[in-house]
Amino acid sequence: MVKLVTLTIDGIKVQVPAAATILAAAGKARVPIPHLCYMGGINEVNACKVCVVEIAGRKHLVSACTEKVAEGMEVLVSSPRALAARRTMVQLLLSQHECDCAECSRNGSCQLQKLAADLGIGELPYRKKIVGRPWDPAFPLQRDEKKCIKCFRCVNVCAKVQTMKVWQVQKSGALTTVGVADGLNIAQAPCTLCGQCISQCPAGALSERDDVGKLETALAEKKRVLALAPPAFRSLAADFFALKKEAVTAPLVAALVKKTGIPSVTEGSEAASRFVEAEAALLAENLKKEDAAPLFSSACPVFTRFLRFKYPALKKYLSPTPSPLFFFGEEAKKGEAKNIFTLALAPCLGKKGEADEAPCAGENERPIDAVLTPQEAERFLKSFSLRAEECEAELLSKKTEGSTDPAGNSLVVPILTALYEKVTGQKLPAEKLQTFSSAPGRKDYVLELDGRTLRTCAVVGQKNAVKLLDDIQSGKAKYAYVEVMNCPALCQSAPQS
Amino acid sequence: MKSRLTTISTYASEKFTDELYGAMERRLASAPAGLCPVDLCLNFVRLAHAQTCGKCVPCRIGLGQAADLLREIVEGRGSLASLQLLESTARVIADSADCALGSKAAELVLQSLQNSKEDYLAHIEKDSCTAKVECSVPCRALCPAHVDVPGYIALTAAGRYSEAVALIRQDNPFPAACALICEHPCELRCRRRLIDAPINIRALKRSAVDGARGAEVPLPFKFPSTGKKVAVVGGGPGGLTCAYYLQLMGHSCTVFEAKPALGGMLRYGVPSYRLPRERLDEDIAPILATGVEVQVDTEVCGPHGPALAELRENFDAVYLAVGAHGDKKLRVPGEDAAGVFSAVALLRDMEGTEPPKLQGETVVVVGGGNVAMDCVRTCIRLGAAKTYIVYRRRRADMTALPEEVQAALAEGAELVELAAPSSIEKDEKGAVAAFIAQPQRVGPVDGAGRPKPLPADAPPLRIPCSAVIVAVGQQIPPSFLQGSDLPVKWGSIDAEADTSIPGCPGLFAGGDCVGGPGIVIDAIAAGKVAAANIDAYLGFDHRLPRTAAVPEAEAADKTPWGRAEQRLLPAHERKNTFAHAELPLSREETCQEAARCLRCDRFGRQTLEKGGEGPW
Repeated sequence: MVKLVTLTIDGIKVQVPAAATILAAAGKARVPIPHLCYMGGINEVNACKVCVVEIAGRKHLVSACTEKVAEGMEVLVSSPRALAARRTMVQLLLSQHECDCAECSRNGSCQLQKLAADLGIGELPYRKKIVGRPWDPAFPLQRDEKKCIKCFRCVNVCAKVQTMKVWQVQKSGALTTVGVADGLNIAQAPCTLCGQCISQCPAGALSERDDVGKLETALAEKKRVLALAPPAFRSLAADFFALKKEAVTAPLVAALVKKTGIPSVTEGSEAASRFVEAEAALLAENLKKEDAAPLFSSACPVFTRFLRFKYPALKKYLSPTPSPLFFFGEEAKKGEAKNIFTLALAPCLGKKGEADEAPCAGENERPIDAVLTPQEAERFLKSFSLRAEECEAELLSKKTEGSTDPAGNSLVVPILTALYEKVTGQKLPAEKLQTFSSAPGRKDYVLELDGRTLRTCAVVGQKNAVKLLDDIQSGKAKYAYVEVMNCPALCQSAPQS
Repeated sequence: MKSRLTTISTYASEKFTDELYGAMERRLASAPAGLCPVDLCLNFVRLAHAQTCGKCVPCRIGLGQAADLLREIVEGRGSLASLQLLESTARVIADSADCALGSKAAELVLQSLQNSKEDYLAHIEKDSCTAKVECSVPCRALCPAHVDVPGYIALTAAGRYSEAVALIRQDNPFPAACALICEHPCELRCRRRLIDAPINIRALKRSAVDGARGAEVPLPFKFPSTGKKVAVVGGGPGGLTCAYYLQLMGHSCTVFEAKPALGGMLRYGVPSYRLPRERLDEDIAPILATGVEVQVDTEVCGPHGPALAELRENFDAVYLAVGAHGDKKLRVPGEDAAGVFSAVALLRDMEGTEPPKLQGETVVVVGGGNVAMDCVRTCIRLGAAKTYIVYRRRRADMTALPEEVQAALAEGAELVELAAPSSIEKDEKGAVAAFIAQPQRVGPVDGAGRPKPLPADAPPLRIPCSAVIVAVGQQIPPSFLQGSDLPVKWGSIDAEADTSIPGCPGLFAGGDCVGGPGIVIDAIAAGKVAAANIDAYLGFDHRLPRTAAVPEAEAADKTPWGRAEQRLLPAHERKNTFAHAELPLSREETCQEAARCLRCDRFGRQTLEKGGEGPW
């Protein structure tokens, strides 16, 4: 039996487990308590003090995010004393935060900005004191220290969720800040470019490198822009056009993007097919070997970086097949490459890194000229005042081509299907492919092929990948093919504002 | 490869951090008097800011903003708005900081704002500072009588003892008594602490007075007679000091002393093993040599003595220095038992014809002050078989000097800490049979920084004994104040810092009868202040000449060096005798100790002013 306690929050009676925090109890009582640094289970560091509340009879204010409830406790969220302290916290934070809001990538989605507005922070009584170290402008992940409010969310999401520890709390006293661990330059750091820290940054200190300018220049120079909008982009488009997910189809995305002057938009099914074919061919080759090494899909660039930094010994298992992004770029740049500008509307930061690192003969020979994350794409598209309804109406009248299937990320099934066809010359019968889950976030696909059993799996999430790789290293698990998508819920969970 | 764990680091830089903290502590302990409180608060906040771990906003940013505001104010760029913002910011930090690093720093800012309000306003409104740095020789500034300490140390080192004693007498006519028993506030902020430890000033003074006994020192210059008459009530150190300087200024003083001999508490309160009476007389003789008239066995306001009004009529001015010879009671049942007496009575009777008889007795002394230690050590010397010191707080909370406590314990006294008197048990004849105390536990810290004792959940303690000596405080005998129209506050005369009494022209008061029981140098200082102000009241401006030729200072060798201490006779020897227990420094030690003096009188701000002598 969980022990329950009853308390009041701004006069509202609420009953919660005795181990609950005041913040949790307030959630139950539907009394919002503003907070910046708190992330349940991940960043319970009680640093920003924005959630301070008054407890009747207590000498000092307490932080709602970490203070436990007690029987009969009387919590005052917005008493003059609590409110004054909360305002002071935000004012103090603002005194060390570069408020170039109009130019900030977080304009409109910044939690600090919203908090300042909600609390009616007017002119700042404190002197501004803004410091920041320079940052490598070429790296896909950008950090503007002048905006960092030292909430330490990035530190803990990287360490506890992504197991990477790229970020570190540095210096002491007044100089306390966050920096790349071990004093490394970010380009040398083991950053997988998963982008989780960007999505958790409440104040715009972390962002993606802005490549919108590259696209705009290409358009101005009248280059032919060929855009790849993979299926994963659909649900992200649904978010910023405020449409239902199922209403956003590939043709609708294409129609919207074309309004900006980009003449060609594809979902990349052709590139995906080429990728699937290549992987199936490699697997078919492996079948001939007695004890073939496992093959790791390189479709997810975050996973390939993760492997490079954390499991260098397993790097050799990475498939030599480049990702579908590369196939798209290669195809698009065939022939008159000079006047072609290839654009990928990718779901994540990792794709920027992949495009940067793609092997090429020279700057103009890059398979992909620019990768825009959903945030950049949103900023780009917004400036055209696009209206989704108009496009929808147009599409209805034209009766256009293209699939309306929900976006499927995993390519394991298509690869196995292609493999089966390649080896047997027949379509894959459903009973030959068994599907089950052998571990959290892991889906096993077992294919019966020519009397042989081919074990493969698809894993989502970095923590689950750690388990898989450990299992492989220790010999606990044996797979012929492994696909890891690094984000916790496939590509749709990539950073969002 | 990086190790997973390491033992506590011994990196040179971390070791040095400890050294740095040690140096900081010594520096703080030797803080010069009179610095700007706002500037100090600023730098305190900056240190606190450097010490924060940097996790929380109130500390990491808040303390920085508080420091900026303080800097603004201290540099004269602040406004009342900055003051207000400083206060509200500090309040929020104190209210919300996670740990003591932040909240305690902010609380101190709030206290500073409250206690130094005028300093803050002076910076804001006039870009000026109320800091008083006119006397920045720490020992001299902190000596209540402002004796020229570096001067007499230099003379002592040079072997010019007579000149050293003469120099001391310019501000304090009790060099011998102070050399033996002064609590030496002069050592508190000694700048030598920056290097190692304070100079042992009292020991050097002892070397001076041992080198030139009272009568060997010539009397100083005396102004011609003014014909003015001043009555001094009380022949203790304060009264005699006042009389001495007034005589030198040309006035005629009469000292009225209730007891048969002069010296006040120095004679009737301080045991002779600490202050042999011939040493006291060495100080008193030159005072009397100035021509002071003395009436002993004359209790002003007493049954046979003159009334105060009478004195005020017959004299041009009156100085009241009656001391605090009244005792405070325990107020517990059984206090009227035979064998219970006050510390005042015990020490006074030691000077009488019949010393108290405690041979073979078991004695409980109640209290934790120096007087309690004097009593217990006296009882031991009187042959008591067993002695207890019963104190309601802890040893660390005692007001007695640690070396006095240590000496008492070494001589055989047993300390019973955290025991509050609850009653005194009598035998069938009405004499003391046992002392009953309630065990205590430490409680919350009071305003003076000591934890209050709270009753512990424990059975009472019974100490069988045949005598109880109550040493829990003293006050003016209420009989002196009865029927007088003197202003009274907390049982003392309510006189000003200049010793005048509001509404009573020509009447002055100082020493224990104003401030309650204090240390001898405070009473001497009050006597000196009274003499100057009485001289002015009488319409004169006699400035006593300063004639000492202090040896030139050499820049000191600042090598850290130990502090030479005076030793005591071994406990087993000294506890059987009332002979002086403290042994002087040797000539060698005296020279070594004096050489540690940094001569702040010659190296510092006071060189900007004439010679650096204090005001007279």
